[in-house]
Amino acid sequence: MFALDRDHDADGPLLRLGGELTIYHAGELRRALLDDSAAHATVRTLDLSGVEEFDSAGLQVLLMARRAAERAGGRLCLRNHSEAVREVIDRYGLAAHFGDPVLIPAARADARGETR
Amino acid sequence: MNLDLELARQTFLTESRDLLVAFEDGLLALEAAGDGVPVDAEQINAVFRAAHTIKGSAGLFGYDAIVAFTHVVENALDRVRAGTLAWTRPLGGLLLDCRDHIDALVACTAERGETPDAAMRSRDAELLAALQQILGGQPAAAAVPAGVAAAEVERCAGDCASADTWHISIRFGTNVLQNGMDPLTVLRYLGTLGRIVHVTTLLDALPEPAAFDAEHCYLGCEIDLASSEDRETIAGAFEFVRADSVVHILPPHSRLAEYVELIRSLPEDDARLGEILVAGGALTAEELDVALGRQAAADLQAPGAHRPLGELLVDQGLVAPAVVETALDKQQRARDPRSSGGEQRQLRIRADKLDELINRVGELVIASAATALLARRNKDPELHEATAALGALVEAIRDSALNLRTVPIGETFARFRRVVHDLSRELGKDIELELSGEDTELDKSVVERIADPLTHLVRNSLDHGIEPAEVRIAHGKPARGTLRLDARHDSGSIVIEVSDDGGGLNRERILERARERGLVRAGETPGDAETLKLIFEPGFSTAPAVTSLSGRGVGMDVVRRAIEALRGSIELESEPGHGTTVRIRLPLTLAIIDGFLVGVDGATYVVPLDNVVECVELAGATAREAERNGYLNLRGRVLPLLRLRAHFGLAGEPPRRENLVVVSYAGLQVGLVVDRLLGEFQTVIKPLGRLFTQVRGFSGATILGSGAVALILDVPGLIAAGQQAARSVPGLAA
Repeated sequence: MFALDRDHDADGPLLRLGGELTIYHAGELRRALLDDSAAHATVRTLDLSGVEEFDSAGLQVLLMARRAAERAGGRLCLRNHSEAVREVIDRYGLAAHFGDPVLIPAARADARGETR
Repeated sequence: MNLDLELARQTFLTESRDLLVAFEDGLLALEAAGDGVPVDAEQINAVFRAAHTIKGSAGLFGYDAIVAFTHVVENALDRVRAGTLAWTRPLGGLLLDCRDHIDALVACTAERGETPDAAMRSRDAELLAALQQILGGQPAAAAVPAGVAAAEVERCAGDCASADTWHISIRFGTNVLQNGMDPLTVLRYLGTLGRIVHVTTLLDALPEPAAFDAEHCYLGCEIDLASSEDRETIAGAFEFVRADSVVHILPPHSRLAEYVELIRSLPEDDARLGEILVAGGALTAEELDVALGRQAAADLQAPGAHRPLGELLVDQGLVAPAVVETALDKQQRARDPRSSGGEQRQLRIRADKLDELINRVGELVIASAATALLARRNKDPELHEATAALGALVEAIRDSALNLRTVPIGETFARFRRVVHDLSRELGKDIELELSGEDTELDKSVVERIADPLTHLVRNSLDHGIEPAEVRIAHGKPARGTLRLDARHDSGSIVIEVSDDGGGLNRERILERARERGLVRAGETPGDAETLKLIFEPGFSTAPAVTSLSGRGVGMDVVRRAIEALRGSIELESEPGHGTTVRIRLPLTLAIIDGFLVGVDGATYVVPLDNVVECVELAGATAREAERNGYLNLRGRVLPLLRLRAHFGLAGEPPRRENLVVVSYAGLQVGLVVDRLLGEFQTVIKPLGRLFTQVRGFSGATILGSGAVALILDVPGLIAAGQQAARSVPGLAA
């Protein structure tokens, strides 16, 4: 399953993504984020809190969406990364590339501190 | 020495031997091309690589004597390769001597675990001095005591990256996602093999939004991994994506040149990749500068020719080709079938394991024959069918099992290039070696045991067969003599021929000598073939005078005995003034044959099926003719007959209708008269006990499906007996 809800908040229009952002829904995701020009012209924020599964295909679509936004002179922010999204972005070492503030849950931050 | 190391050492030994063969082949090919001709780059490279790899592997094991010596040889080769040292015959000869010395060093240090003795060390110094002279007396490593300086050169110092992490560079294939693999899995798996120090994901391959296919993969990663796993395990992480991805793996402390090669081979911008390597900790900034700086300098020097940096560094002597990586790369190539490309894929197996397998297959053959016999006796058609299928499979397994043991004879033949090269030089003759049929395969154990007799024959031909150039020219022959080695398959045996275009054998002098030694009675004149055969008599070989007469006597009886021990035979053809051919005929295998069963007086005998030409019923007029004459007119040809019943002195009356089995060997045919024909049967040859060595006419025994013992007929022996008998027949003698 893959869910997409349009919403608004203080910063303007945003998209809430949820469910499976994987190869199985990569096509749909692409259409929603890239082909729908109205979407990337206006939407500045993606909320990822509902994403349960995330893989390389999902990541690529987000990367492309970001690039498209940049071409259009804007910037696409990701926020409320779910655990699944955070893990993938970490693995690829792309946190800096996205440049979005990533909230690290307290429990995990502790674990990191210990291993360091 | 623990087991793994011991295994590795064994591998080193076999590999070194192979490499030394390659080394020698290359040198001989270069020599054959002659002086002054531009050196064939491929040949000299092959020689160089062989020397280099031996040095590298020897370094791994700490065989410093080998490393030190080979290093100087390698330097010389390198200069030939670079064109700064001219290829000459003396140099070739010296390098061949060096090859022999390396061989001796390997045998001494690696095989026997000894340190080279005084004699070897002085040989070492002697060769190094000679090399040094050719190299132009540069004060190089040669002057330094073996084992210290040159070995030091190998250890990487400033030339290698200081980082102790693996650097992995991967560009995932477009289809990876569609194939159900996610690059993430690879990254996660790598994480279990060690600590991923740094990952840089490259997004350069992501296309324009319009061209973006959400199901294609556009990712690439540069990964630095701290892991104590071996290369194979790490490469294993990429097993499922390797087919369509590009993967480079650099072990810790790789040479800078390898990083440079990596940078150059990747599609992204060089400078950026360099930064990534620095960011990941694979290289320090200084190391990167050194590597890329040299590159720029080289480009400036030769703007037209853009040489790979790795090559440049090696040439300048800045990078000592590292030992460990060479070995690892080799291992990798050997274990990864995909990367081996056109190379032959091979597996080394202990010979005794194979022998055990062949033994078991032999038992299987007997057991399967027993089952087939039972099925036939019980007249159960279904069982019969099943055993027939089983039999066919067993036969196929037998053939493949025997095939495992076969090797092409080419390796053995190739050895003679050197023998011919050395001997012809020693004898002052110009002799060319021609090889054919190198692909002919025969049993490994036969190959091993045939090498010595062959060497003997080759030496004889070179020494005494081929005349000196003046004599040859006087006889209107080309000054250059030719020695031919040929192998081919012929009706169940393999035929190896050693022939020369020399003066041939002098029959008068052989006879004279034979009479002196009492081998031929005075007044008797044996036929041509018999005369030639005399040189195989033991008496001939030991008499020193014979060598000066024809020379062919030297050890020919030893050769004959070696061949006969292999159940083979040897024959000679010699035409005065035109040359001599020695033909060796050997059985293909030593263990299992297809047999043809015949019955005589209640007992069963086996005739090797390869020797059987045809079967004829002996009845009516034919039978009477055979009875009267002792030979048969078979389609216009005289066929001598051998009655097995009479030959073996069996009692009992022959049946009313007898049968004839026509057997052939080495071009001769004889008809064996037997009672019954019993059909084909796969036979495992069991040697007869020592008690029976004097028994003529049998080559072995086998066990039938019924459990009964059947004797295997010795066809060459019977044919000789049959031909003998035919001579005593009055009608034929005339």
